[in-house]
Amino acid sequence: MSLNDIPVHSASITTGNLRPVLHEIRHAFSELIAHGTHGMIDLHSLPFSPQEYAELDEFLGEGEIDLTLNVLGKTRLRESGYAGIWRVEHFDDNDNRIGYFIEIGHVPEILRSQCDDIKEGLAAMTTILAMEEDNNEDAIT
Amino acid sequence: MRMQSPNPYEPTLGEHLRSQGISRRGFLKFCGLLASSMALAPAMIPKIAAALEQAKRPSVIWLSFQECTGCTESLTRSHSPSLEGLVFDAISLDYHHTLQAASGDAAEHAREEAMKEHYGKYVLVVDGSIPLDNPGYSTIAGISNLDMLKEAAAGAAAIIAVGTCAAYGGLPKADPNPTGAVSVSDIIKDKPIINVPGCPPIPMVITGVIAHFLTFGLPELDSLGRPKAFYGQSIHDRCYRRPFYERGLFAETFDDEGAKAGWCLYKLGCKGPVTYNACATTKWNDGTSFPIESGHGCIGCSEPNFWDFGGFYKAISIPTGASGKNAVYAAAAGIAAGVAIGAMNKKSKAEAASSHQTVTVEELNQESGS
Ligand code: SF4
Ligand code: SF4
Repeated sequence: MSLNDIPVHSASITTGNLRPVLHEIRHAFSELIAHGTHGMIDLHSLPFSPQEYAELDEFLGEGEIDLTLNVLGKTRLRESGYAGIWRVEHFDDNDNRIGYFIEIGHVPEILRSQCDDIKEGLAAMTTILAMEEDNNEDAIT
Repeated sequence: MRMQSPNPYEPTLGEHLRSQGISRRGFLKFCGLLASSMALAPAMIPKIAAALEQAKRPSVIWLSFQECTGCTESLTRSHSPSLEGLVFDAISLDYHHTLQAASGDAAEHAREEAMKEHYGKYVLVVDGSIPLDNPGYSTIAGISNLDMLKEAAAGAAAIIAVGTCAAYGGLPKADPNPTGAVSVSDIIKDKPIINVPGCPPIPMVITGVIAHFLTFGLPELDSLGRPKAFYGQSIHDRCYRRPFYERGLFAETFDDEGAKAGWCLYKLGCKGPVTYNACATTKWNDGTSFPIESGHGCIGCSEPNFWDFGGFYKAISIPTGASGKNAVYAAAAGIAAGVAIGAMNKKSKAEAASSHQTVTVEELNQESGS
């Protein structure tokens, strides 16, 4: 049962945090264009009312990309209606949202292949190719 | 904490997590959530990742004194796969008499071994208070809590006092304090002590403090020894019912129209304004909610002497504002004047305006005059 199932209805609330967050997003957006800086805003630890989450969602709109990663539970990446502004939602195994970030950049950080993984991949591929070539030479001789 | 070890093969924390099947993407997610839980700016995430990647697994010795095991339950019952679990797995828990398989002499030997091997470097975690009246009130393997604490503290790099009992005496110390219970910091004076109060503390906060210690060393503490990252703001500052408080809209009983509409619980005894803890944002039960969201005021569980605050349902009389935001909230309290603080006498109002931090039990005992 989720909180929404409990038949107590809160009078509508606004915490007043939405406006500043929208301006923070706009600022990060212009930083991305001016300096290529990747921006990240943590929404999880801000007091936001359900209405404000909804208003934020409406403001950002939907873009073309909606991806789900399977990394320690699910992670959902959605591009907003503004190219370069992403919603990044982290879930645990029980599909509870445990983190919510707005990222401002070409792709969300978690989507990039990690440098160390790339290096390890190159090393592994080199070894495999060398082994195959060794085997081929053995077969010829 | 970075531990110097003679063993060159001791894996780093990053290596350990990967050997548990956690990919680098997973690690990044983990670090992002960790930063969020520590209220650190997302820009810190790469720094956390780099520091954790290189950190060595610390040896942890966990001692339980006069306690109810709620603090351990809080940690071990957290959701899965939980960050709490990941951090917890990343440490080398060498002694915890509730969780370890060994018992009796074998358990005590494990503790002695770990203390000897990691002398000066292990992290000591304590839950529960220490009885000073009669050592027989609480013993482990025949050793008094006081002796065991002193012995284990001597070789510790730092001590984490988990739960309000270890941090401030907690329930055992509640009036009339039959066992003469005291906190860890009442006894140990020569080691860094991080207080992680709460009854119980939020699991994410327990592990967040451990993670902070692993990555950046000792966290910055407030005047009560609590890490500011988690205890820097009051429940009231982060409470989603705060707009009702500002407008002077209060529930008067637990079932009136105001209660149904989700108004502020101040008059029903909410201690949010004088309580510093992270639960308004971190929440409980897998992030489901926190007490105020379920319609009950905060009881102040992360504050010293909260059992003796004079009644969970008595309204507090001091409009304590946020640290550093006194002016703003003094003005906000002004708006609510006549409702929340109308009955306050001039003296306590002046005191509240000047201190805005600590409130005595006597002050809390005063009725709000609602
Ligand atoms: S008094 Fe309690 S319920 Fe009211 S706003 Fe403060 S913390 Fe929330
Ligand atoms: S709402 Fe208050 S009493 Fe309840 S858990 Fe949070 S700090 Fe403790």
